[in-house]
Amino acid sequence: MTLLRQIMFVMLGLFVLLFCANFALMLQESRVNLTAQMEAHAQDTATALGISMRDPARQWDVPMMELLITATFDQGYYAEITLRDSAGNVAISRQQPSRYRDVPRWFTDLIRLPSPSGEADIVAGWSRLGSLFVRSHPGAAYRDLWRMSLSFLSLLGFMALLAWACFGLTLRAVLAPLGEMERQAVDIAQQDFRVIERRPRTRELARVVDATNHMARTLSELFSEQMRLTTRLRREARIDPVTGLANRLEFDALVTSLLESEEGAGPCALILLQLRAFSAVNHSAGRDRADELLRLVARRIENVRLPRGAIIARRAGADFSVFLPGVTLEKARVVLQMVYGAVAALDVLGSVEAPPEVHAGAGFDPAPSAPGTLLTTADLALRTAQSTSTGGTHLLTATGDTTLTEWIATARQWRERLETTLATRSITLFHQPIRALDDGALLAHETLARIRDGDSFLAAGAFFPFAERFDLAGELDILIASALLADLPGRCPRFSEPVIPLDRRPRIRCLAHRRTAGVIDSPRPVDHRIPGTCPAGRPGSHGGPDADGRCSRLPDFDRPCRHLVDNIRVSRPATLVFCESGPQVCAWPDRFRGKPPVADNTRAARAHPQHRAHRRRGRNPAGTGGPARRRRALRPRVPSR
Amino acid sequence: MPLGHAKPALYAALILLVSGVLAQGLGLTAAVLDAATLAFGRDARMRLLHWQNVVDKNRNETDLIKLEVANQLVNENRFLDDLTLWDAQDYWATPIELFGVRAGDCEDFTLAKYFTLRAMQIDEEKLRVIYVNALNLEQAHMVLGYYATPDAEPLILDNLVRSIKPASMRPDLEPVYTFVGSSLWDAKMRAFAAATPVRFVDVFLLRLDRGAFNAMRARLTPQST
Repeated sequence: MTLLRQIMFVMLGLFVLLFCANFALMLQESRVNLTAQMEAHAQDTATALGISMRDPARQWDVPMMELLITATFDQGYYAEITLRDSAGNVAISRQQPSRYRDVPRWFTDLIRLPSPSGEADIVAGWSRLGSLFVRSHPGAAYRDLWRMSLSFLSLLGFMALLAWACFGLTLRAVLAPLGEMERQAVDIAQQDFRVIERRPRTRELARVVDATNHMARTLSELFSEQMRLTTRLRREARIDPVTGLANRLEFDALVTSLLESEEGAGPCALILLQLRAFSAVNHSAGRDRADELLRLVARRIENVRLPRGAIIARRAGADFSVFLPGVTLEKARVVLQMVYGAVAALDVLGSVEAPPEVHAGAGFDPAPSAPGTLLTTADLALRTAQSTSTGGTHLLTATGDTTLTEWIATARQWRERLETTLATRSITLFHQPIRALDDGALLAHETLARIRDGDSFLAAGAFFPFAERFDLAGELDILIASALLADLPGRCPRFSEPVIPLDRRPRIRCLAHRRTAGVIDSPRPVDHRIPGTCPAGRPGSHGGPDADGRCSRLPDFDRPCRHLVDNIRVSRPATLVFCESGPQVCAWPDRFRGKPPVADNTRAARAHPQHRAHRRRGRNPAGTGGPARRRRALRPRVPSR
Repeated sequence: MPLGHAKPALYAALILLVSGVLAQGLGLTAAVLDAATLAFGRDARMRLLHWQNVVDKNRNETDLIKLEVANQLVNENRFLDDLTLWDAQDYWATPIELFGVRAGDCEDFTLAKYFTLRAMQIDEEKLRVIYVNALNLEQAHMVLGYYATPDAEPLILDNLVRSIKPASMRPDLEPVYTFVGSSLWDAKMRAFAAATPVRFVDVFLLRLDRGAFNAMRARLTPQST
């Protein structure tokens, strides 16, 4: 039973008790009054009748006296009227049985009104001839009392209902904060330390609310303090303090839990990367420098576009490990290349006195059951990679039926390969259309740049880091752009003739727009900042030149033939836009900042932080991502400055 | 400040307490005597005590002696009409007031005799208050009748004729109607109490509480001294 209901019942009980007492009192009072009234009535009738019978009594005219008595008896409430002579003998008597209609029997039994009487003399002159006895009939009194009781009880019922309702509403309002406090208590038990904002008006409740609010705040502080401590301790136990990567303990725990989960991890790969003889760096360059180097390596690995769910850790010293869940063998190979490339291409590695050799080995297991086999395989692969005196990567499968050894092993070999590619212009472009999801309209082409390697192709993500390291990225961009332009008429029939001589080096110019990069050697060079030369295909269709004649934003080209190249020099998918004013390469401008990186673009490239470019490339590897994401990349953006 | 004003409830309680002891008497308790002293002075107290004494002494005498004693004692008071005495029409004074102010009109005399005789334990059936027409005065009048038996000729106790005489010797009176004294008193005094019988002592105390005698005293005192 709720508190509210208990109080209500007690209250109603008291109310009824009070009313009953009141009722009894009133009944008693009425009873006394009615009795007095009946008594007076009887006496008055006796007197009046006695006086009126003076004359007939003189001759003792019984019929006349009987007539008078009957007349009086019939018109009033009398139980009895009796006339006695002076000797006390009954001369005339009228009586009425005590029957009470309209009133229930139990009520008359309960009340028991007296039936008072009055007496008067019958006189003639000085002599008393007889006496008259009149007794009142309490029927009318009973009826009055009964009616009064009924109306009183109905009033009581009504008042009780009214009181119940008023009291209930008031109590509910007063006790409402209790519910709120209950919810707060439950919330606190569930670690939600909220505070009751509305302070109840009742003083006692207000104090309790203050107390619980205070408690909630204190608990909240304590709890968050504990959380901070826990987090810190957990970090210290599981995170490598130098690189911020997971440590070996954490890595093994994560991999084990993943492999032993019920769903299983599917085919997995584990990459082990080691900087050999790193202790030499410690000795020669100092611990701080070595730590910095380790951090850099960690960042580079992190920035590689890794498959979903990949786990990176620094196992010990200069050992790093990357776990790749749910990858194909081919994907594992690509990621191995990219990870290796990202680290091996580090310029800073050359900055220390005894540069450590980088080796990476990957173990692939199509159906791993325990982390042990995967680790063993990866370790074996790493040893294999290290055993080849030049270093490089190696990939082994756990089953042992496939062994892939990359032909590119060293940085020197990479350089040779890239130079060969540039010299022979043997870049291969693959195109795939990107269509809008809703209406299927062609939005752009995604262009993937690949270097042919016998039967397979090397992904841009693998060779571009080396291109950048050897300052060949600019050359590579031009090669890709040229190849794209040469290829253009086949896919964009509107641009029927190639507009760029392939032997000329394109000039890349920055546009006014921050998000666009340069123009590749249009027949008629356009500077978008010069009034009146806005390259809009049709001025006005996209906003056109503003009052000064300047382009306020990137022209929204009228049905352009767009190509997104996965890795163009700026290491970000650049958009090649061909519009009626001429073909343009719109790339991300951060690298250029208005400086045309022409023939001697090495200086410009060096002037900018490299890690930035790498990070961007890492996020957009070749051939990944869906149309929707591309679509977002295509949208012209309003300059922010 | 009259004492009666302060503690009427106490008086009522006291009266209830002693009424059982003095059921047969006049009900003149010490408290009532004090109240009467307060209302009418020390002489009044003495007269009331004398009255009480007379009643007590003659309680065992014959009816005729009781009648004689009561008639004589009450008739010692002066006749004054209600308007002069009480400044009211048809004011029924209690015997205490009658003895207190030593005056009254015919009802006061008759009722005082009636209560005195009742206190002396004369049967109620033998006493009747009789409304009569005083033929000489051509005025409504009230006397007390004593009926030795219900159908006997009554003896008339009157204040016009001081001595008790049989009804046949009072040709100056024409009887109109007779009443039982107590029921007539109760009917008249209904205003003072819901329940009957109404005791004259209570009526007196209530009147005293209501300050009924203050104005009367102020009016009468200069005349009486």
